[in-house]
Amino acid sequence: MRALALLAAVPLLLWLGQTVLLRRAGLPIRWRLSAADLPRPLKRINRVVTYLALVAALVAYPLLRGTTPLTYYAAFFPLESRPRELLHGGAAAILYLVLLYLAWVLTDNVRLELRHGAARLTRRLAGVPPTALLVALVEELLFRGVLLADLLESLSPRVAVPVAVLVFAGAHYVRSVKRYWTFPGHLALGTLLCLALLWTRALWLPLGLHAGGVVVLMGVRPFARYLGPAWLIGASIFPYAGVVGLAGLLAITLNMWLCYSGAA
Amino acid sequence: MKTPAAASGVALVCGRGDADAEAVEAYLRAQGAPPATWYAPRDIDEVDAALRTGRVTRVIFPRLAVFLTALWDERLTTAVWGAAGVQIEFADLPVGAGGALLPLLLEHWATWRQRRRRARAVAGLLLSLVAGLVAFGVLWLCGRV
Repeated sequence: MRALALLAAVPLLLWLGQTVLLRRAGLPIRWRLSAADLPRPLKRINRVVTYLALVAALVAYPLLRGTTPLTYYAAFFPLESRPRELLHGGAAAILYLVLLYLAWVLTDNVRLELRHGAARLTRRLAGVPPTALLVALVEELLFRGVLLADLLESLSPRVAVPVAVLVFAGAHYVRSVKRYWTFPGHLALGTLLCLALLWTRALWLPLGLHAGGVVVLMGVRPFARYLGPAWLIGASIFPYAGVVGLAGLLAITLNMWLCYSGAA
Repeated sequence: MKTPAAASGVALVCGRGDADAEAVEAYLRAQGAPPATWYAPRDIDEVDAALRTGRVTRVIFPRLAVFLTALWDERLTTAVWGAAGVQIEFADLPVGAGGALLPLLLEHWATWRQRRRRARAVAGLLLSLVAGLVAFGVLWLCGRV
């Protein structure tokens, strides 16, 4: 349960950071986490505060357990032939998303077009793999390696997984966001990733699934214009929030269950 | 690209360096040179947003073709553009394409698009199902090998 307390401290740290920056910009203090009207340099500092808060939580948890972060997290990455789960997860997520995007492009629900110049596009695309891996790694360490693993020590999987899924989904809405109807999509995604850890007792598979998905979403983003209805294709970087995306997440969860349910 | 963002109420859908820029400037001068904001045709969704907020009430296109291209590309919200009070003008209008043409065009376009959207959604749903089944099948087969 200490992981829950630790994660609850993250928004508090973010709020404190935001409050200092708002005061510095001469703006009124607010309860909601939102950097929308901060000047650009302060926005950058706010982003650094976010990263630092997440890293602090990742470092603090193993230390609270009396172990080093390296020893603690290394246990989630067993080496004997398991890294192929990373590739399997990545390939599975990419396969589903690429085929779905193909279906949407063919039916004109998503239109691909060049929106940036060559230099900017190259810069953006070059940043996709490392960013996807980093985003997935931080979220997996935090929500599966810390939160779910901690909950599983004191609760049964039937309770621990839903709690971890709810916290994972809710964390995406702590800051002010454009849309809240994507919440069921985050619940389904969280369920897949939590079950992937539960079935394999390692982070290779959830990391692969997560990073594979982010690679496609970030890679498509500079080209895609969404024309179809949101109930079908979701919105922007949330294609898994539409009915097709939700069904796709259920199907990939079933695929992973068929492959790994007896692997642990 | 937008230059400069004045709350003029007049939007010019033409890039400053475009071949049509001169004709648009001449048209604007003939209209008494009201202060106007220039939007590149690829940024027409920004004009759409400005229309919604009421910051723009008059839009000037260089040619009918530029307007029609935006329409076919579904970059305009016809309900907003068709609303009363939004004045659409063309610096170079083909002979015979009078003022009555535009409201009619927008009305028919809206009906056609609604029909097309429905067909597109159904096709998208069906093809998505096929895509999902293929992905599921491939992963299932790979898992058995």
